[in-house]
Amino acid sequence: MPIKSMYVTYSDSIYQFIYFLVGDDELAKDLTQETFLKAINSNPQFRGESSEKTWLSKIARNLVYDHFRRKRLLKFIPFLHEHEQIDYTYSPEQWLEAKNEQYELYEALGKLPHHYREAIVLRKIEQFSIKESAQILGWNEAKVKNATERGMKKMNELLGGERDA
Amino acid sequence: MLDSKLRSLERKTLDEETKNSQLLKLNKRNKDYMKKQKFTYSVTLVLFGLLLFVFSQTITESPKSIQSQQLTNFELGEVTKAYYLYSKRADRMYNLTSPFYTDKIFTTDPAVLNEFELLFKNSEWLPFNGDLTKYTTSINYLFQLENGESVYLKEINEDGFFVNPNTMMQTKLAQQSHEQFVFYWMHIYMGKNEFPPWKIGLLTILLLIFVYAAIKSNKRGTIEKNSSLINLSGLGLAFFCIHKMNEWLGVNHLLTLLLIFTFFMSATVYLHILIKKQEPNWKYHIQRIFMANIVLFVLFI
Repeated sequence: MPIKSMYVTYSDSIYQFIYFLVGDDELAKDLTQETFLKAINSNPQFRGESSEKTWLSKIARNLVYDHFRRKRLLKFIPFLHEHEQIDYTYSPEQWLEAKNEQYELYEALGKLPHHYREAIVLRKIEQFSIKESAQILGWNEAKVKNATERGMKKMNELLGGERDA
Repeated sequence: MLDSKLRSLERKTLDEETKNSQLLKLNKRNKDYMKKQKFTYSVTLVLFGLLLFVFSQTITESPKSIQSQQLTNFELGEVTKAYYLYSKRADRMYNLTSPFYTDKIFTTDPAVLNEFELLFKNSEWLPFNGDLTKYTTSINYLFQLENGESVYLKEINEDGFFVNPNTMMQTKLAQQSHEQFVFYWMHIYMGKNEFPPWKIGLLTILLLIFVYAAIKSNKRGTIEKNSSLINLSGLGLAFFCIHKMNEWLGVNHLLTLLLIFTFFMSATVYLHILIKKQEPNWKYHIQRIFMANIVLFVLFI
């Protein structure tokens, strides 16, 4: 697919995915652009093993990780094992504050450990299959299932336990 | 309940202004990328052409002028190094000036060289009046002597009938001597082309590095930068393979193989464009040519 149509089709979805991961509007916009710029360079290497959306999401996720690496949030600690324990400022924008329930959901998402958040965003919000989520996250399917279940449980706790009733 | 709430979670979208500015930048970058790709491809093609030109020049090098010597009696003398030239072009290349010329095996084993000396020692040499240009596919031998001279022998008809193009003298080895002569070369050839465990080990390690690199890049979703160590190993392995193929199969075969690779890669690239409607990544395809070389090499052993 030419880059223009790819951007028109997927830009919103990629932006939303990144926004869920970083919680910052401007950063999400920048990383969205970077995702598509990176896709230009690696487009011929897209081997059709997954959908374009999955492929773009994986690039986006890698960029998010690279961003945090650059920010040295993860300095001196092994990235893939410890990043999950790190939390960062995650505050929904003003546009949501009026909508109380939605705001609470965003806030709860922001309080989740990073790997739970990723799993929930992909599986429950973006509606990726387990297989696709595993491809994007570079995990096995069991880990995706596990993280989603535990994330949902944690989110229920954060929301006071009554929402899943 | 939480599932459905999350599914219907309100999400912010990119505003038109941001989209337009990002699209502009993307289009510009895309054009630059295409230009860069075309430039890379053109440069590669030119370099490839240049390499082929150099190659073709070295294999069509004009023969060393033959100065006939007025010798009526010929003795092989003390041999320090013997070459077996199994290329069809050996008669044009017997002076071995080209570093690219590898269609040969040689031995410096004193025992074998001594046997060669003895085989030719009492042979009778007579003037040769035939036309050597008729025997372009014959097998050729070169003997470096202790006094610094070289003796070039051309075996015509493969029945022990030898001609020295320098002196235009001929001799015929007895059947038993000829069989002995062939037997020695067969052993040298087999010894030269054996594949010892250290080579297998080295190849395995290099191939494992490639597999590791492939898995590592797959994990990141796209094939990204390989480490320079992997690139250098790949390049070294590719050159090693080409060199070995050249040595074992001969320049003719190597050029044929390169032609096949080029055809194969071109077909792949065109199919890529036709089916996927995408501009191919030439760097990636060139890497695949090298990989194809390696795979072929492994298959050949």
